[in-house]
Amino acid sequence: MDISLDVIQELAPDQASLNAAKKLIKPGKWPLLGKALSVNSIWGQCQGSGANPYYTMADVVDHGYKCTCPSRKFPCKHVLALMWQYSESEGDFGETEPPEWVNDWLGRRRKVNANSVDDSQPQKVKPALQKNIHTSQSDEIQTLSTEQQEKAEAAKLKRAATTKAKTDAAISLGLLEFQQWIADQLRTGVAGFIKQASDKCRRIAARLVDAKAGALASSVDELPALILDLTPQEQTDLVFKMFGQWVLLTEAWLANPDDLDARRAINMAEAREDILNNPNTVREKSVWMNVGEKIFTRRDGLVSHTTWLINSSAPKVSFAMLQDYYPASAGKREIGLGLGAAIEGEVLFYPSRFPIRGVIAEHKILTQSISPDWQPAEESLSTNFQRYMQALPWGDHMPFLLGAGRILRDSAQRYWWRGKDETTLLLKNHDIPKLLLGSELTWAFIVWNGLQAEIYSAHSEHWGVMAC
Amino acid sequence: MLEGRQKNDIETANEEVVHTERSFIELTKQQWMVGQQLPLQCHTLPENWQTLLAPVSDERLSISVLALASQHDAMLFNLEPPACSEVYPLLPQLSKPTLPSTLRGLFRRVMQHANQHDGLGCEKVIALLSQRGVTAHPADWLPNGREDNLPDEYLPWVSWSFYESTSSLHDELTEDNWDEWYPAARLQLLKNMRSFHPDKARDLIAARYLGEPADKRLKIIKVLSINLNERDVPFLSQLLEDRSQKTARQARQFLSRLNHYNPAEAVDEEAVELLSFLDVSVSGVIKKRIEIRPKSLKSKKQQAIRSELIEKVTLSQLAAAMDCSLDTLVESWMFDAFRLHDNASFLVSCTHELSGQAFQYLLKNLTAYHKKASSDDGFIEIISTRLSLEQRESFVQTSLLNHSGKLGFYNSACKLHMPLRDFTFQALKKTRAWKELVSGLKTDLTENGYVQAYYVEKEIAALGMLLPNNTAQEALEALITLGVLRADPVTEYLKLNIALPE
Repeated sequence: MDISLDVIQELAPDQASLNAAKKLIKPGKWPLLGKALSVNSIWGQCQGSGANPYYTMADVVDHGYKCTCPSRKFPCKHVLALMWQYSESEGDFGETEPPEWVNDWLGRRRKVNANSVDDSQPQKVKPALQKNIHTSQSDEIQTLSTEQQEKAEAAKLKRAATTKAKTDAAISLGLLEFQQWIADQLRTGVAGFIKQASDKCRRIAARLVDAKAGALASSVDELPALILDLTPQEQTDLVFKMFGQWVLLTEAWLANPDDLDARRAINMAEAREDILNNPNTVREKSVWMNVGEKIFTRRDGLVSHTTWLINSSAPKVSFAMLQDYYPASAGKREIGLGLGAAIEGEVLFYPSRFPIRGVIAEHKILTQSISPDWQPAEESLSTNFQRYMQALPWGDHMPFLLGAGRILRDSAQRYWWRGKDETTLLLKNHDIPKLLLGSELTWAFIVWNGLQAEIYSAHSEHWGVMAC
Repeated sequence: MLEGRQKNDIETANEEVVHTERSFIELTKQQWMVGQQLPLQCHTLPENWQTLLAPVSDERLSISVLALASQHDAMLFNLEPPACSEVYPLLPQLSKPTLPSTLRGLFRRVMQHANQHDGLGCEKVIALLSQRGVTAHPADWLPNGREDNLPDEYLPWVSWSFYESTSSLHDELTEDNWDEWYPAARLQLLKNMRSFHPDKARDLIAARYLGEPADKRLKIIKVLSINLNERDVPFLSQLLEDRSQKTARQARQFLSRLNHYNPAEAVDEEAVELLSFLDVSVSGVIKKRIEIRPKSLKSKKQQAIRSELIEKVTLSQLAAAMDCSLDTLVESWMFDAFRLHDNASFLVSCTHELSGQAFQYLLKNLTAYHKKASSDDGFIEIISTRLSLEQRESFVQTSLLNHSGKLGFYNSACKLHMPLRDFTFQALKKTRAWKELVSGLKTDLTENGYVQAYYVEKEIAALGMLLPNNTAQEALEALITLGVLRADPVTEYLKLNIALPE
């Protein structure tokens, strides 16, 4: 069951895809490669431009494929690279049972009638473009002289500086308008705002988008969805909290538009390549365990995919957050690492006064499970939160590992955390499995926003790590 | 000493400052809620804030105060849970170990399939695990209280799952908290109690059954069928006087099952009428045998009346009318002569009424009938509650190996509580069901390329819940040789079976 290079060439939509695929054929790009020839399948996780890896799989017989990347080319470069690697070094693929995400794909594929057209099957249409896998290049051809390159580079930098200055000016103006908008809400009454939150937020969010404050616009646009399920008192608390945070954030920008934390929260986060190439990036090499994942579609149509990792080998508990956004139109992509999965590798943190968000560099998936017997932080939640607020006064998602405790439920069907150390927190979760209510928990991983905790996972001595 | 006092003074002063600031924030928020027409003035702010916000212009003062207030809230926000917050009881650990973590994914996929498709149901999968000495992980599956036939080791989880079915927390069902449970939960708990503490359950029923309406009373009385014993006789005799005919009839059947019935009392008009619709003859020259057959009747109406009477008249009443023992009655019933519906009604009565010894006579009669080509397999399910594991397996195996039998793998698995413990692949290949499956599979693969036909899918899945471990392995290989993809989800039942050693 081989895949020849000719087949891969035939499958490729164009020469550019082949070139791009060749660049991906590096062991460091593929933390996981596996095969199960009994089911004709190969798969791999490819570290793409997102924080979370892409899940790629293919059939070595009928050459069907699937990849979780948002590319609109079929097959994408990840599938081509996976097949290419299999073609040239099959030995790199470990023979194992297919993971759950491969099984899911296999289960769905079989429903396709052999006589009907299968989207995941290669189309037997001759491509109009000329492609040659043997001439694909992993690097751009250098056609410019050194002097020309220097000139081009200088011009590029100048253009970038001009663009940045224009963007900063536009954002500053937009933020002043936004502050005025907040003041207007206080003047006209927050009760009225809550009633019309959806329209009001959508309008000001559009203004912020025009002002190039895209990240802040998304946050504002999400507020109505956040307050939807809350009690009137909780709605008021949250609105005041968010308004206050936004004032602090905009003030931080107006004081220094080059503040990276403020810039990230208002404009946009840096590209993965910027983090990889930044000499000031904090790097942490360790064994990381996935303690929580959240995938949801925002009001602006983007799917937010968050993965929380805990550093298993550090003496003091620390976390990393992998955050990706992709358009909902790219299709359902609810494949993640899986709760409790462990990886060994390096996390590169975005430069920050309180580094949490990161991207994974070279890493490998560990097949053996690790013992999640972490000791919770010695300092209390409020001490940690105080430190967090000092660093990021507008922050509202601080990860924390709570020590032993139980989850309670009140008559209004709200959930509460009651720690053995008497910590009491209102939980944001609307639905918690009964198993967690009926377990003595040794730890619980939460994200705290100052008012409520969202519990992602918890551990009990008897039942191990459980998702919430 | 002095240091301590200074510290206390500082703390008191801080508390006062915080209190003043909180009061100011609350007041200002109230104004912001309805709308604040007059701008804030710096001199009205708490003292500490005045210094901090002195450089801020009046127009920007309100949003600056808002920013400070949000920080204040974030650091001092503290909610106490309401006093009525409930602490859920801890989920008990079971006596058998949990499924190995490597098999949990496969188990979840099988359960998902069992839930979504009109298939064998989750209880069969749970029974398979039980047979192989393991239990499900509670994160993958927990009883929902609607299961009827869970292995005994799950009873602690069943009780736990009913926690929410009471208005307050109770460890067990008692006379005092009887009314605080929902009827379904109460019934399930009664069944559990009867399984382990039959006398306690009967006493509880005796104390509370009168307060229940007739339909619920009957359901409660039926619980006594579990572990029915001699000590139940006084209570059952008392039930003969129940105002509900159905309850009294049920009690009579139980008493009959315990060999406590009065034939003279049992004779009634309906039994005599039923007898008039039956043909009772004696056959055999040396060894005489009574044979009961249906009489040829003139109209469908008469047939319907006979069917109704078979359903209604208890065996004791019929035996009394015939002036014979129950043993003779069940031994003489010619199953191949009666309509299926009448046989089913007769067997329902047998299940409820027959004592252990009489039931053995019935089994002897049924075994002989079952060997005939024309026999029907439906009876296995009707009498299954009275059959031992071995007896059930034996009937299913006979049905499968009966070449003219129509019992497929799915129906066989439905009749069993857990997979067969002894059934070789050689025997499997000889069954009509296997031949039909292979034929259907070949057609399906030729037409579709994959297993798509509902019948084929259902039969392959059922094999996983029917076969012993080794035979499951051989069956899977045979199916793959025939063209089923190893990755096909329908093979996952078989894979789970194979992965769980006996």
